Amino acid sequence: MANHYEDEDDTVELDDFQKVSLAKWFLQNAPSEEMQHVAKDVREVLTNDRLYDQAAAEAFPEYNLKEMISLEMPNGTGQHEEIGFESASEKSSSSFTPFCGNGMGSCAPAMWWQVLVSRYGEVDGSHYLDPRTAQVAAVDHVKQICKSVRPASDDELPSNYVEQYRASVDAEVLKYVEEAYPRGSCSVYCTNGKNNHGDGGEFELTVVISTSSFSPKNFRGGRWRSVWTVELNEENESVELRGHIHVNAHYFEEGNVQLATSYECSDSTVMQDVIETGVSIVAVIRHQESEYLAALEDKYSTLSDTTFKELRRKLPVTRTQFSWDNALQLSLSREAARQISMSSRVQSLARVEEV
Amino acid sequence: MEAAMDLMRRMPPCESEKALQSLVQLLPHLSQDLLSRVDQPLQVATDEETQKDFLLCDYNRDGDSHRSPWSSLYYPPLEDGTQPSKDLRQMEIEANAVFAIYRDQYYEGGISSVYMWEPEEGDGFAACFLIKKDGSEGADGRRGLLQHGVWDAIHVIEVGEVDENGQAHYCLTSTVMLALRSENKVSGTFSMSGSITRQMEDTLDVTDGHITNMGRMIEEMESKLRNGLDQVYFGKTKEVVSTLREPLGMMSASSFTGQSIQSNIINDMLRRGM
Repeated sequence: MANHYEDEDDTVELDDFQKVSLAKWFLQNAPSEEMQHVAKDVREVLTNDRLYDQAAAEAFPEYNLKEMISLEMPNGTGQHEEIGFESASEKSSSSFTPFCGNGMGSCAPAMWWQVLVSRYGEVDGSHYLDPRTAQVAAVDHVKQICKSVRPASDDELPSNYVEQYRASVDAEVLKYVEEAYPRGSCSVYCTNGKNNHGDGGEFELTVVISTSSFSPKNFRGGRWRSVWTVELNEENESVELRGHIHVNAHYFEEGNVQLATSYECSDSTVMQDVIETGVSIVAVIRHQESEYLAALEDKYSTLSDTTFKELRRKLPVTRTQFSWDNALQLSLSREAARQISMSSRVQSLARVEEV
Repeated sequence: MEAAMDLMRRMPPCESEKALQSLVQLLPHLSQDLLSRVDQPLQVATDEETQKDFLLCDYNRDGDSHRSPWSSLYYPPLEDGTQPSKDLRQMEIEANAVFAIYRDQYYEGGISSVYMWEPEEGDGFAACFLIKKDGSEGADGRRGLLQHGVWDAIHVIEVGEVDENGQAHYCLTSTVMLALRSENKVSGTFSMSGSITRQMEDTLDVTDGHITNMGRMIEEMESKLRNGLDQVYFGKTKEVVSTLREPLGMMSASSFTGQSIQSNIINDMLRRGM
């Protein structure tokens, strides 16, 4: 291990490829909502803008997809303010006032204007489908903004039959997310069998929930991500769900503490009519996620109790503080005793060898 | 340099070794500063001479070798490796002996090491007291309660010259690093790691000796940190989780359920013209 720390004179200069790799590694490990801060640091440490740009171009898309960030879509007229460095990190904590109209009925919640960047809706490296509004968003990964939107083409969308179910699940998920996740975003994609027209067979929907919080003045931030794969089989009237939840938290006042959790579960329900199916799918999700949250709380208190018992006592067995001056005297005589016992051991070992 | 330190505060703590290595490679001219300012989980080596384990840090390193506090020998062997002065070495031997007893009483196991040196500038001396306790089941965990949990403590004290009143000034900077992991079916994988740093200073009479003064400061600091860790590691990260997802069906005034019930009641009352 110590061998890696070479003296300054012997340092091997890294080549461009190695530098970009290291820069990418830092970017990819940025805690949620802290990407812009990490990016600024990496740019300074690299001291080479060309290499930084290269690393950023490769690292940002992977990071955005992994984090499943959500971006504001410009309104129908294409008017849209460029979100700069500061607001990108404050985005989740600022309030958003949606405007009404646009043919979507009365005032729609803020989530109608968000597109989730995830591999489930990826059209290509910089275009992402928003199934709710049937639009495809063009995304600038490095700036972490949505540049423009266009209507989705027919073959980017599922069949009417599948869309009915998708929309029903989506409507229920929206209600759930609004209640359970402050500032959360969600999306429901058809990830298999999108051309199914209701003549038997299966199709698959994927429900994605992603929410983050960041409060620099409280030195903390984090993200919750759930991905639910839902397989619907009309013949068996069965719905199989597989859920994957990830929670991350970061606290950085006078230090750096990070939590990373991951959880997998599965469940099932019956396939009924469009509306009932949507309701029961989200009921399962809601139930499982609430159970997980409760299990997390439990884990917290168990660990809190056990950790310190196994690592460091509050006080020695004597129930008093350590007596440093006594110990000093004791140790000197102990040391002497040990020397004596060690030398007698050496002598007895020598005797054994002689035999 | 500040950018590098900021990065260390944001990278996942369980990857801090890789993060530090990468920074040293990208900023070779700052490697000495980085190695001395960034705390890392302590590594262990064995002193062949005394058959005892000791801890590695920047303060007992010379080139690629580390000095054992028990025999003062370098591993791998080094000719003319830096050694503390005779007086300082004597104090170092006593400090290691006493600290080992302290460690045993509080940690019931683990490894400790104390290193002392004279700073390049100024008078007085400096010392670092290190402890590593692996409480994982299968390691030093006596009660088999923790699946994986490691505690690393690094205390660095700067001691000034004794003044005409027979007092000396002590400046302590302590860092505790904790890494926990737990895995089971009910709650999946749960892993938490990180470090917190605190400082403390005092001017004390040297009648009881430097070791006693330093020891007492460290004991007090460790107790504070042990309690503080509960708040930071568990309390603060738990707070973050609660800002991400609301526990549903809870009727607290601030929860979504509570608020919507409140607004429903108020709307109701307004409608009835109350």
